[in-house]
Amino acid sequence: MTREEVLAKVNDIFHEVFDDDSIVVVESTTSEDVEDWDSLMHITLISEVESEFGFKFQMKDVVGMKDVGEMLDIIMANI
Amino acid sequence: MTFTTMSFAWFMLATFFIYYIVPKRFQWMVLLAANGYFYYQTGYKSFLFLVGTILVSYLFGLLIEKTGQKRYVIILTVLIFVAMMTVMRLPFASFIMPLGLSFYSLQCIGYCIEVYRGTTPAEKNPARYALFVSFFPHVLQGPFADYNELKAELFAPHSFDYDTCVRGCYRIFFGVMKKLVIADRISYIVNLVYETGEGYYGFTVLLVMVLYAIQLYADFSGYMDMAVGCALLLGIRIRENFNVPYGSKSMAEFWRRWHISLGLWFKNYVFFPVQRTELCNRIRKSMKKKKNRYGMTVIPSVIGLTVLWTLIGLWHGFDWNYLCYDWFCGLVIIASELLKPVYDKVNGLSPKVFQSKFMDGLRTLRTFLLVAFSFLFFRPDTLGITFTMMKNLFVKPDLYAAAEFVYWHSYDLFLIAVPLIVLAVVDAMKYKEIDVVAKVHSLHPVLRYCIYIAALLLIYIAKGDTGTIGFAYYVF
Repeated sequence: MTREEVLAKVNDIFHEVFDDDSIVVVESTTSEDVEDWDSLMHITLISEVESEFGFKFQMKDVVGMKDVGEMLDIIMANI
Repeated sequence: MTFTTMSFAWFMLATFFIYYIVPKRFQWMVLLAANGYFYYQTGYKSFLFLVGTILVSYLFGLLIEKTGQKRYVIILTVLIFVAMMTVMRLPFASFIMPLGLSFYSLQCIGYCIEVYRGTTPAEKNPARYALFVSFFPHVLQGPFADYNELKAELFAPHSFDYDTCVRGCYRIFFGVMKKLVIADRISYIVNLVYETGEGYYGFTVLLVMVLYAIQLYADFSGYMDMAVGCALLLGIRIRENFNVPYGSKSMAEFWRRWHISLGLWFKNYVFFPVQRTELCNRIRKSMKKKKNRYGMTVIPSVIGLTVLWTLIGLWHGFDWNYLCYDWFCGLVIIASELLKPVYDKVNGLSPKVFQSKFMDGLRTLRTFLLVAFSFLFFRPDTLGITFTMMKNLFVKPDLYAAAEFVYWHSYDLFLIAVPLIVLAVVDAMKYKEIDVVAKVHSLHPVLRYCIYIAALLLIYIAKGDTGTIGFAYYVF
């Protein structure tokens, strides 16, 4: 799977989790850019990414992830 | 030796000069010696306890990195620290409770967890680790530091930088004003009321409640200003612990702006791990199967928040008042999370009205009053006083008695009026992300020096009795 394909899937997960089809995530998107992306929603988002791509994030990644780009790095390293 | 005493001023001055005179590679050792001297003033028993705590967490850090049984060692580390904090809070041991134990212990636990997670390599040099834990600006009241973040600052060579030192001085004097003038003066007004809670009704209780909210903020954030300022004098940047908390529009936002490093600590080491437990994962999966998107986030969040707020309550102290205070905060946050769909629907009726600045102002006022109300649990010594004051708040307005109360305390209220306006203006500027120091510096030098002299005179004239009133968070 290419990075672009992963980003497209992650984008779909954002739509589902935040119930908002207008969200367009890019590598530099952070929690500041998406309304409702707080620490409560963060874990739901992480869980959905895990079940979509079939791996588990380490706690240091859950806490330290700064933007969608870093999320993609971790996904790419685990699929 | 608190930050507002002359002995601390001399200590800071001596540290400052020695720090910049010695060769740069020895600067961190100067700091370590200064930390030792600073903390030793709290008593030799406390000092030995701090040394022991540093040694234990240092050794566990090394062990966690070396061993193949990391999981068991980190569990043991956390259990030892929790047991230590628990025992020290029991009545028979509380008389030897070392100052700042709750703060530096959490910092040590955080360090060991980061080593366990692999984000921080264990520090091999015990003296360097000791400097991190005992750094005098944060050892007694925080902010909690992250080793990865702070070590770059602590061990880098620092040359004297005029601008950084000026910023440090601003922060120190602003902190002194907040503590000695605003917090200490307000304590003269509210302390008597909080002794029993009897005989004060309606508007008087409301006024006292609001004043105490200001007092606690001025006290705690004033200490933090001084801590940040002292570190800046040494060229070291430490975390900010407050970011205009009374500008928050919700309780959740308030806790992201108030005691920031405590919130971050509990989020990283309690809330997230609880959220990632098997129980929460199962709930999420079962809700997903039922296509209940709301439940998928809300139910695990409620479990996580309940654990989080109970533990913060116990961290504050084994006292029903602290526990009820933290449960109240948690309850408000959980309730607003549960009611979010309702809010969204109501807000959707007229987005123009609900997104207006006026509504934002009302939300800010509502949050401030809720926070001030929550401190009715935090401040009194017993729940009996809390409930008396809560009952009296609503039983009758008693406007005449409130006017009389203001009259009797008009001297103290008059003295805090100007500092309060300064605090409000500075916070409003910070809220709009305006660099206050740069603004003051852009003024004409004559005007600037007039402001400095006026500020010093104000502190001198309006301060309470220096040294007689401790910092509110020293008790933890």
